[in-house]
Amino acid sequence: MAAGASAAQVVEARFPAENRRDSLVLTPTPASAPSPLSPDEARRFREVVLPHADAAYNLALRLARRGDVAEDIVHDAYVRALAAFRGYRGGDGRSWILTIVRNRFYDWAREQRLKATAPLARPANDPDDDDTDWDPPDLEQDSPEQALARKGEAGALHALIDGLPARWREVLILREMDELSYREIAAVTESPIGSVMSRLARARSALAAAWRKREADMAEASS
Amino acid sequence: MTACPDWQHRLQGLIDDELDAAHAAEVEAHVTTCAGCAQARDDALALRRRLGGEGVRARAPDRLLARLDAAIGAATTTVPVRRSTAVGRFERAFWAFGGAGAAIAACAVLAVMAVPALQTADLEHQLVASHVRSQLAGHLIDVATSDQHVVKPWFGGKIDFSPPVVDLADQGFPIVGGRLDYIGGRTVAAVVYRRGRHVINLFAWPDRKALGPDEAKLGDGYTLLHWTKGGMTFWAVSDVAETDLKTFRQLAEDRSPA
Repeated sequence: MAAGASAAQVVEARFPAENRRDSLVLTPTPASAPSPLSPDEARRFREVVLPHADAAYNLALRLARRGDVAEDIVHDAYVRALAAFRGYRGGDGRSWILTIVRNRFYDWAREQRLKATAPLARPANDPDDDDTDWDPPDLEQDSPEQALARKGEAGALHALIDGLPARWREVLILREMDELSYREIAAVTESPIGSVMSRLARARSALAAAWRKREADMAEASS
Repeated sequence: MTACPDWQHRLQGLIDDELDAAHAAEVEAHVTTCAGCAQARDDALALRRRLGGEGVRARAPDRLLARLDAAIGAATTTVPVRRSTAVGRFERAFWAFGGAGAAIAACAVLAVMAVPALQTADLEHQLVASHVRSQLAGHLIDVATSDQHVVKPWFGGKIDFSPPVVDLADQGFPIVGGRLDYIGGRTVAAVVYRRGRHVINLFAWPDRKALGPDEAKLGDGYTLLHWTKGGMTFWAVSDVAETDLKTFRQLAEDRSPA
């Protein structure tokens, strides 16, 4: 896993933790509110950024794995996009909002991590504390076996994807569901293209193996 | 049986269509001789099919869309802002300093070129707005069917013209349905096609005159293509890759009656 370690280092180097502290997802909008958009700018925002709300929510949901948090992350990302829209110089509105959504997710995840390290702040049902990727444990998830047995194909896919590391989930979602190119994914995730390809390869291979196991289990159960 | 580590990246590139022809040929040749890599490729393609399945991709809940709508409203001024763009400044300078001769000449130029150009720009804007609206409000289709023979008669009872509805499913553009929309002061037919996860709105109404440039790429990630055939004007609007939309235009144009 040498490549994984170096990718994590790259991310850490590009996202120094101290720069992230002031942007937690639940903090209120900064007091220095930007000047409002003109009706024309607002209309342009509705055309350029708003249509990607589904993509934004889908990414947020698969990263955070909780619907309520995903809604907050997307809402927060749009508030920030509105504040920054005057400086928006064109380009792909989808990549832009997905980048903001992704950053908001890591802010939220980091906040969860800080909370989790305070011993009395939350119940001690958190066996996954050594998670190195600011990826909070998936509290809502059943055990994989339960999930696979209970849910249909879409639910089973969700459960399997949600079991991957966040860095793999994001490249998989951006590639397969948002149809972004490697370059766009590299820009959104602020990762080298080589890391994007490595994570994609691992995510695919892990999901293929998990799916094969699911089918074998189902065949066994029905026999 | 696993994929060769050395080929891992190139194999992803092949799966994701990120290789140039020479490299793609190289990887394809390798895959024919390597069972592990062939399996990895087939697995990835099967995964892609599953991920494209019903209900896998989450949609933003209505509650969230309402919150986003409110956020945009809250971030928008209610006072109309005076336009201060470069164009506005130019116009003001022109009218302030232009002589009578210039004004007359400009009127002639405007009448010939600028007014249709402005109308076209406004029309394009309305088309994009309609395309966007159609995806937001769950108003994408009034009649949902993949069958061209259902869409066409559906229009028949509702509008005073009969838009050609061509089946392009064999070329990877299945029909999703049709709807009516109001563009440029008249009711138009919109046939909705799909390309992967992208939606293409094909607008049609009777109009023989070709307007504007043959193609207009907007900077907002939407492409518009325009053509006329058989007394109808067509506009295709989508966020698919421009080359895909051009293919779509070519096919739609070839298959619609002259």
